[in-house]
Amino acid sequence: MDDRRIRKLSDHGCQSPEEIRATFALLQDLLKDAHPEYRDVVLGQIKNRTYFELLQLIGEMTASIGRPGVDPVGAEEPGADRPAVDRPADPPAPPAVSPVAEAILRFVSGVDSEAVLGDLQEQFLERALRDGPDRAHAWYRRQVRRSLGAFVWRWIQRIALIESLLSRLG
Amino acid sequence: MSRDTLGSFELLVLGTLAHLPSGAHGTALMARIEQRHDREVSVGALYTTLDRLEKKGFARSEWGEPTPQRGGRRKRIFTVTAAGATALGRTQVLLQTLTSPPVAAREGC
Repeated sequence: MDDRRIRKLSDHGCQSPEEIRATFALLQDLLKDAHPEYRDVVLGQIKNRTYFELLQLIGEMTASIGRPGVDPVGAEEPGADRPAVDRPADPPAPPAVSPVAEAILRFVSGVDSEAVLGDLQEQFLERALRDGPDRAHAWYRRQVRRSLGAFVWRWIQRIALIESLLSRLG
Repeated sequence: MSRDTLGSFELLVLGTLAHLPSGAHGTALMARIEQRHDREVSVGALYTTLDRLEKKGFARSEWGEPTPQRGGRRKRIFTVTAAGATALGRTQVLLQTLTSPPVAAREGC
């Protein structure tokens, strides 16, 4: 993959060329047993995609071709006698943190909740691909635990400010 | 913390954001800080700090498009304002002053 292509894939320039190469290699690995025409279509599609769109594509592909019991793309065709390969499991979903903790996080993060929960989910997928699902799950739980502290503290400060203003008014 | 000064974490966040001229959302900022400073930042600490920087007028934000890999949630994209760039420059000068050796020490007295 050339440097121009890497720059194009980089979203806000925050991924290293190594990360992008590794992600692209993962995509190629997922496609290695696919039907050649399908492979060409997918590789052709990523020309104008960003890095995160590439991750999304990998997520979609692992969902469609990676489920146990589902044949790899193209393998069901007559004469497609390909050796069995270890395929990744379903794309990792964020771990089931306590619904109470997540509800509190949603509540105390206020207007930021959409951005916060989206960032957590986006990073979780990226880390699961890079470091594996176990480490990504541990990271997710750590983030929720640590973030609750920061948001609860901001929430308390806001309440205290409102109370102070109300007492001044009178 | 007064309105025109930067705390250490604020400096880290604003300094990182300043290196991303087209702006950055939380994930990009966290990744950049982890990559460059080997420091894992919590999303809570990041957003409360960005909120504070916005109130001080050092950063501004706008909502981006929702994406499927974010579960259909929108990005909040932050950029440094002119006041933020000035505050960064002022802090840089202050740090240089504080970390440079005194004149007497430089002259070997």
